[in-house]
Amino acid sequence: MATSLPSNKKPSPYRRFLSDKAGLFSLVIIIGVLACIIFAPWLTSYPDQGLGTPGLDRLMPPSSEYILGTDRLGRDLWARILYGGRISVLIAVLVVALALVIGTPLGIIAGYYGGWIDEIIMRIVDVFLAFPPLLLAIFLAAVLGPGLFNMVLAIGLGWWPWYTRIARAQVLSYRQRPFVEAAEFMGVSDTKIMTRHLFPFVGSPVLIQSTLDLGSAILTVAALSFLGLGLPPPTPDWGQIISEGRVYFPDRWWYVTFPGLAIFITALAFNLLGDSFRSSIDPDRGS
Amino acid sequence: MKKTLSLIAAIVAVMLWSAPATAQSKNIFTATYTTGFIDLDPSTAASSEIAVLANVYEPLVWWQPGEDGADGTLVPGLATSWEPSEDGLTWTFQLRDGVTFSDGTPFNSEAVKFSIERAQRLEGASAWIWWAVESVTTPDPLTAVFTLTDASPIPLIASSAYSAWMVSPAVGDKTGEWFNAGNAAGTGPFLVRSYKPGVQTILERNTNYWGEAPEGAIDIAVIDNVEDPVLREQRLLGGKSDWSEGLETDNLEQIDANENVSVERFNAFQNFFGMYNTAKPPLDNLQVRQALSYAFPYDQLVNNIMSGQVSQARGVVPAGMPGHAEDAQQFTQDLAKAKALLAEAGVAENSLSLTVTYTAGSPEPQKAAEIYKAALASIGVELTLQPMSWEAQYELATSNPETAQDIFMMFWWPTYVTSLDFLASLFRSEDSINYNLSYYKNPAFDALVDAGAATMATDAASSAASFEEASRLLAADAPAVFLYDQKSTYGVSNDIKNFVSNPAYSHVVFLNQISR
Repeated sequence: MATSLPSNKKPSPYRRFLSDKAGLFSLVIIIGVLACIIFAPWLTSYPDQGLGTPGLDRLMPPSSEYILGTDRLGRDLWARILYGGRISVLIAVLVVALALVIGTPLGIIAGYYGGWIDEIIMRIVDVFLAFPPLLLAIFLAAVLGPGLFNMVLAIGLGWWPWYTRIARAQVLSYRQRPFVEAAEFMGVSDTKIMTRHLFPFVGSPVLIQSTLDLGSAILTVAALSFLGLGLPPPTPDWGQIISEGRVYFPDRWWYVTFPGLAIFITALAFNLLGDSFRSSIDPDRGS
Repeated sequence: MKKTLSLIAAIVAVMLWSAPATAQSKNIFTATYTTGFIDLDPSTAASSEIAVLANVYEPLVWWQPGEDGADGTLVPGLATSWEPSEDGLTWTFQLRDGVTFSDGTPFNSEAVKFSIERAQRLEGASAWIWWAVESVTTPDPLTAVFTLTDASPIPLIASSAYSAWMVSPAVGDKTGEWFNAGNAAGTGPFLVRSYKPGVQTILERNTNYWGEAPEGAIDIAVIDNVEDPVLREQRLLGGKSDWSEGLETDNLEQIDANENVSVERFNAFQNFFGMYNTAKPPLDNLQVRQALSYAFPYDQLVNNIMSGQVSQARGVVPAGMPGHAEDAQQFTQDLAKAKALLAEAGVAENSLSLTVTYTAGSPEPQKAAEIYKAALASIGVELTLQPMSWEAQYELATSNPETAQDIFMMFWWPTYVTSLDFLASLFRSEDSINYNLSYYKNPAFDALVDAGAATMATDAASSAASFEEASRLLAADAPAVFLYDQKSTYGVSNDIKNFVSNPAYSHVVFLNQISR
């Protein structure tokens, strides 16, 4: 009779996610964006122009030849946006990965050991959080100079403290649970407790946060390259295309509109997806 | 409530009454410049500050362009006449009578002596113009005598846009700090009313000016420094600014189509080039430099990117200036030849990797560098673009040639109208690096430049011939890729009359010439 029992069990996070239309929709968009930038060379007739080779038809409006128009050096804007997406999304992913790699272990350590270790780590976190994040990124980018990894460092170094906070809060709430104390009692090493017993509980809130953060990271990358602190030209990047094209608005509206839409759609999709993850994994907190 | 209403009514009444009244009583002119001013000291300033200085100070002599905007004549400024001695080693200037500085000090030969000596003493970037002046003597208040070590065209030098302004002797030992606090002491038609570095300078009419003001003269000039090209354009088109420089080339047509604004172009002695680092391999090799010069897409830059609004340069001296050689070598793009030259120079295919620096945020150099990169890629040379702030770019270039950039892109306009400035400041051998950012050292070239400089005052024809010879030698030796000569282009409000740009004083609006 087990099958007819009315289930008072909550549906699994996976099923909850599948029933969330906004979440699914955003996932489809993200897969679409990723597919576009991965298969960029096959999706445009002007892959060279995407990488920077100038053409001769400058500032042309959208047409059947150039579906999104051309830029100030006669390059197909669709190709520029495809290749620009590679840089923008790659940097955003690396930023969040860097923040995860630095922030999460520190948070677990701080939460598990407590005491002066916790104090030191959390005061460092406070120092970093005291700076407005974009200002810190601008400052670091200016000091480090242009380059893909410098840009990742510049943004990522201001990003990790959030993960430390989340991981620490999570560890604190599980720190006193019997299974942790039992493990300690049995002489399991600290490292093992932190990686085996505590890390799994840190995973899901950190996953939610990092998905939400991908959207903000894309915006921050765009802001930095808009300000001229991004990769050296002619490497395209969504923020940099807007920065170049802004002097042509509104007469050549396509120049800023399409890269702007690319940023908008991608950032929004990551945010919706993060929200949807949160309500699927942790429905009590709401969204 | 009633009180508020009556208050509003009163305010409105005051506004209605006062608005037309102020508009009638003061004629205000607003100009928008690109970068901030750095130094308002008339003896040391070396950049766009002349926008202010040329209205507040006056030189002994002005350079006036001819009909075609080029061949100029020298006209009296604070000097009324001048005459050399037979050997050319002294020049005697008769000075204008009845002129006083804005601080009340009379203008006389003592002031001339003071101004020249102050420029020499402070050693600003343009102080070199007075190199041949040994002393200035003052036989009487309205006569100043320049004694020279070498014959030198002092009236032409005195018309310089830099380091030749007459300053009140009452300034004494005060340095740039005093000037940059918003003080001034000149004889010009305008006074500095307020100065916010990098933001705004306000000038007002000098009511004690010795000269005449035109009808509809400007009373107050507001000079704003706006780095963003989008803002500059909006200010001009929105009527917030009567005049603007640094407008986007691709937008000029639309700007000109605006019914309140027109785009005006004037002859200028300004050009744009990329200096090769000749101090280290591979660009110390002539064949590699030639290859790089053959690789540049000149036609694409001039006719496509710049829409034909500039003309391809021929050597470093801009066309229209004495010393420009019409038969100097001019490179055109020839990728096959470039590739062959690289092979001859022993450069293995795809082994060459170079960097170019240019001022960040400046659109023309970036466009030029991007098309250059694509052209070089097609002959297997990798070019890395490195946009930097001007200060950082200049510091890298002047630190150590061995570790400096390979190509340095920049614009140049003359201190005074002479090809000597282009040839000597940019390519004559230097012990300590100043503006020879090619680190070019060629004794034969130096000798030609020196020969030209030595005969400038005594034999203009032979001087020009030496400079032309130097230009030809330089063009063939390719220490730089010479890109284009440029006109100066400004957006001007249609109700401003008589605006004329003088190529000897780039960036200046002569406020006592225009009217509304």
